[in-house]
This record gives sequence, C-alpha cells and structure tokens, in this order.
Amino acid sequence: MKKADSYNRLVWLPIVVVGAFLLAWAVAPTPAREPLLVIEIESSKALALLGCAAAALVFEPGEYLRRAWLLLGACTLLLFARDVFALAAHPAKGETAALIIQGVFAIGGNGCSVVGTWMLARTWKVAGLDEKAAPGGNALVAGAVVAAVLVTGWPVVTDIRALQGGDMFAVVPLASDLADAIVVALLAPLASTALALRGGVLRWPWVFLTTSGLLWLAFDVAYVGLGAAHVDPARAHAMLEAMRALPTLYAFSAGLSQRNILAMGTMASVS
Amino acid sequence: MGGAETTGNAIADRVAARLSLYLGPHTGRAAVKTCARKALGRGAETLTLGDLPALQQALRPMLRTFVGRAQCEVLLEQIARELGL
Repeated sequence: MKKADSYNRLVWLPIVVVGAFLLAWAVAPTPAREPLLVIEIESSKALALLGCAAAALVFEPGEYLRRAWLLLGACTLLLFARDVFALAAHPAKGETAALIIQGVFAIGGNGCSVVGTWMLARTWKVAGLDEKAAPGGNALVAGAVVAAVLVTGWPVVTDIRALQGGDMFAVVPLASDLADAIVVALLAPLASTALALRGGVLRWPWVFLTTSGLLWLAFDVAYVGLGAAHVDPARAHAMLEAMRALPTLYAFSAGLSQRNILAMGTMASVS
Repeated sequence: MGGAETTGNAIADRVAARLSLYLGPHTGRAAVKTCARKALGRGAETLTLGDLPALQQALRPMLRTFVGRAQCEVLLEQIARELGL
C-alpha cells in the first residue's frame, strides 16, 4: 500500500508543482513574475537532475541503466549550466563568445538526451527478452515517427534555411530540433516497454519517461502552433514555461521511481 | 501475445510469479519461457528442480540489466529459497 502511494505521489507531484507555479504567477505583482519564472525553470531542472542522479547511483558502476540515467542527468546538467551562465554572465544580445558557450552547452545537452533516451528505449532488447513479447510494436513506431516528422519537420527546415543563409548559430536550434525528433520517435519503444512491464513495479520509470516524452511533444506542438498563428511566444511565456516544466518534472518522477524500486528492496518487502 | 496465464509447470510458475513483481505477469512468464529455451533448449513446461541453476544463470543477464547486480542476486536467491534449494 505504502509503495503504491509513493508512486501515486510521483504521478501527481509535477501537476501540483506546476499548478502552484501558475497560481503564484497569476497572483504575483508584475515585477515578481520574471524572478518567479526563473525559479520555476531552474528548480524543475535541478529536480530532474536530482532524480536522474538518484536513479543512476542505485546501480553499480558499469551497469547499463546507470550509464543511461547518467546521460539523462548530464543533459539536464548541461542545460542547467547554460541557464546559469546566461544568468550569471549577463552576455550582451548577440555576443559571439556567449552564443558559442551557450550553444556548446545546448548541443551537448541534447546529444546526451538522445543517447540516454535511446539506451532506455532499448533496455528491453539489451535484456535479451523476446522482441515479439513487447506489445504495440509497429503501430507505435509508425505513430511516433509520423508525430516526430509533423512536429519537428518544419522547424528543422527553417533552421537549415537559416544555416544556408549564413547564420552559423542556427546550428544550435537545428541540433535541438533534430534531438526532439529522435526523442519523439523513441517514444514508441519507451511506451512499448512500459506496456510490456504492466503489472510490475519496473513499469514506473518507463511510464514516467513516456509521459515526459509525450509532454515534450505537446510543448513542441504548442510552440509550433503559436508560431503558425503568428502569436509572439513572449505573450504566452508563463504557460509555455509551465508546459516545459511538466516533462522536466516527470523526468524527476522517473528517476525517483527507479531509485525507490531498487533501493527500498521491493523483493524483500514481499518475501 | 502472452498466451496462457500459467506455463503449465509449477516450478516455472513460481519463478514467473516472483519475477512478475518487477516485470509484470506477462513479461515474467515470457522471461521464464525465453530463458528455459535458451538455457535448456526446451520449453518452460518441462522444468525440473535440477534445471534451476541453469535457468538462474540464463535469467542473470536480463535481471542485471533491469535491476542491477545486487537486486538480481537477491531475487535469484529468493527464488532458490522459495523452491527449497
């Protein structure tokens, strides 16, 4: 019972945190809103980092899932470092050196995200389980690939055009959009693993990772939608940041559930 | 996909039930079937107590991937204890 409660808490925690942020933002006086946004953005990243680190450290050095969680943690750490750099250094808009540093953090973070998610998505295969036993297979893969192309296709084209036009810094959003496309496509094997593990406690990390991926997809759809409707994203800043915090916080839930399953000795509790 | 709710063998069913706590009933049974085939070259329905060490050995890489070395050994030990070995 206690175990089920702890997983239920991890289901609701991101929703409650983001709801509290939106409420605070709505009632906060205008000068307090920007600092509130920064706190929300950075604290959600710090929590995601904590969750990934907790999950990684529950495995021994060299173990497969330890490496996967470390990579997801490295992604969050690099994106967190990019934000801290921007906040601390206050670079002038368009300053080349600052753009390069932030670009390196962003590309590194996205690279770690892709490899880490890819590793988690193929855990089933690495474990040597019969591939036929993983449900959902082809339909899920087709759906995920179509979603990836629909949502990230146009931004990728725009980035490539900017790059062709001589904007070398377009490589940063291009890397980010390509990473988004790959991670969305990897939702299929993540969801497939969560389905295959239904009824077992190990489903939780994959359920939360799939949820996080779907919410990133929703964020990308909202962002592209705003652009298509010619709405300045700055006007929907708080809502967009809330949509960005939600999947980040589900990465925290994923990491913490992985840690809880192994650290609390699930087997011992029922033996 | 999953087929029957049991493997038709008491030993295989006990092992699958223990694995299912982590992996769920569907994958717990699939793991026992796959590992029995790999380790012994025959179906899970033919398992005897004497096959258990070989089955444990075959389950080890899969369990280590999902739960790490330490929990894997705890789990295999519990399976052996439960079956009176």
